[in-house]
Amino acid sequence: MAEPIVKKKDEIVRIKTHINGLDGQMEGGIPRGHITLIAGSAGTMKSSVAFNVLYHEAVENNKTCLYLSLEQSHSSIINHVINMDYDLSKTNLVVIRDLANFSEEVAKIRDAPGGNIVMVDISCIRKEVGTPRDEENRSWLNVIKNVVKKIKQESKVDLFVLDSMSALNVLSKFKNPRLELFFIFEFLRDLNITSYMITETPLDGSRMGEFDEDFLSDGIIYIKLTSYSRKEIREISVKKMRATKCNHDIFSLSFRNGQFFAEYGGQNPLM
Amino acid sequence: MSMKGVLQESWVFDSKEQISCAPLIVDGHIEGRARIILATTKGKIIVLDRAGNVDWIFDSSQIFSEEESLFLDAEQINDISSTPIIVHDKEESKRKIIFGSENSNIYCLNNEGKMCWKIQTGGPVRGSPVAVNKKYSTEIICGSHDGHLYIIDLKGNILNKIPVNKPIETALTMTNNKFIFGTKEGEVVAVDGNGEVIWNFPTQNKFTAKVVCTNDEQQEMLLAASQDNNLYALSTDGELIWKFPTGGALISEVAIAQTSPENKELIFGSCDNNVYCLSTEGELLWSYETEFWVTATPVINKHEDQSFVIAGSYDHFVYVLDAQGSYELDYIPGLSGVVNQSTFQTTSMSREAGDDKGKQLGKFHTDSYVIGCGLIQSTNEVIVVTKKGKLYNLQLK
Repeated sequence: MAEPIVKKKDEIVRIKTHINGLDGQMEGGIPRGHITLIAGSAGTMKSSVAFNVLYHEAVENNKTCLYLSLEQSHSSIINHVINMDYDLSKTNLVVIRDLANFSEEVAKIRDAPGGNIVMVDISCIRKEVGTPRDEENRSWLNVIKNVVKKIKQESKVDLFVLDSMSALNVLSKFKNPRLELFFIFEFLRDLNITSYMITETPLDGSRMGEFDEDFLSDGIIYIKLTSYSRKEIREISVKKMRATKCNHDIFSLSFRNGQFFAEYGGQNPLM
Repeated sequence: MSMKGVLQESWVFDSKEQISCAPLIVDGHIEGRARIILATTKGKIIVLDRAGNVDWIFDSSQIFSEEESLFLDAEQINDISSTPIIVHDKEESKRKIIFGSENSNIYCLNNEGKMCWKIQTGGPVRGSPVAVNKKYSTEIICGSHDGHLYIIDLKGNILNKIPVNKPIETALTMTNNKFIFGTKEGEVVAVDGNGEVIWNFPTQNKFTAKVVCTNDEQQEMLLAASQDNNLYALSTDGELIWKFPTGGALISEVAIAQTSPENKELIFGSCDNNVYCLSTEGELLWSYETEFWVTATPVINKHEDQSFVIAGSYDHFVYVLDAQGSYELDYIPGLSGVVNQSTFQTTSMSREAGDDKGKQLGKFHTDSYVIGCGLIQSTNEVIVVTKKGKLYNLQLK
């Protein structure tokens, strides 16, 4: 399904990142239906930033949000966000870690009032299943697509996080990465799901993605660690965002009192 | 009476499912009834009578557990991507329909649409089975992506399962006691009856088209159309005789036209939008450019002393071309302005005045990409299937 064409720019519906100080730098948020890369090297809080979007949209706007983790276990993610003071009792958290119970778990989403965070622990499923028998027709890529499709069909999916693109490549062994990614991105666009793809970049930031996913995506939010006089500071910037007038300055990214902040855009944060 | 090469629609059947292989035309041999058999990407075999009425439908789609279905691409897993075959069961005096599926099974149906047997292989079955008539029986030979050749009797017993250790992508060709097939890795492979590789000819991209044998008494050749854009002519010992490059992947098989007792022409389509006609020496006789890919294998209709090439394209058209081609002039020597300019004779005469081009006699517009063509020679009916699932019965006039 092609992205609907709006008549006026006010008609573009935007989803907030819920990072204080950042949404105002891009006309209120990311256009609905966009596929945005959250890119950065290890330790830059990419997964936390992505989870932050899902959490606030589920709690504040009753959205159904799907977090698909290919490598990190659901318990590790949940413990991590609890430690960051996210109150998971404010939303309906559904964890899918066994494909045999898939339909039962999806029914919980359909019947729940309010918003949902659905966490699909592919890492747990991988341990049980091992390598699919025939890679030609049976693939983890199909699992990802079918999970998203089924939840969308049985209930709904408003927002989707894939953690991470590198793990997807390991699982799926892209033979023609740009082409295969194009079809994955188009699959998500056809379902009209606002998606965040976590992608790992080298420490020097020389590339935004391993497989040209930066060219295919609608937006790129880049997070990096920068050293200032023996301090390590996280910095966030919007490198690209289609259909959006953005401030591309680099902001300091911090997390305090349960919220993310983007501050000192374009300035030296130590001054 | 000569024909002009015009196509006129007789009837259209809408299967309402996508199709990815050519139809099987049975010209009056299922207990005297002519039938048209098509296969869909959702695993259905649909049998039509000559008027386009449904005789019966068989659904080969496999039901998977919820857990297993998550690993599968539901749009492709039951695809029948190669044309079924029809065999005569001498013991039962009945015709049987045999086909392979992406779901890894080989099926045998009777002429009423009931399943006689099903054999599960270890991988997708993408090439049409081959029937080998022995003295007292018929054997079915089929390759699977699991790297085995399956030899099966008509009762569904596996007589032999030969490991060839290569994923078999195409239908088999049999010649001189060798089984020849194309692989996903781009090899043409010849194995013996024990599965031992006799020879292996590598190309740069995979095969989906069956390797065609010219069955020429003088020089038998194997014609292998590769997705590396080239048509390869190989000897039965795997030696390259010639290679013809095109500008696009070759998905269509080569059709062989016997245009005269002495002359054979090799006709095939390419994803560079052209239909090509070559001599058996690999020389271009003519080409015809359509507006999009030509993936359907062309069919040849001989009528009296005329030969027609019927070729379908992804541009939605079915073309009727004169198998002789024609010479199209770019300019007329002696009448164009070139003659009036002073120049050296050698340079003014060195340029060709034109090209050998396919001569279009007629064309017909369908609803979608043309996937396959078939022919009922006796009545000059052309059967065309499109990707969106329509089957057209066209009268060639």
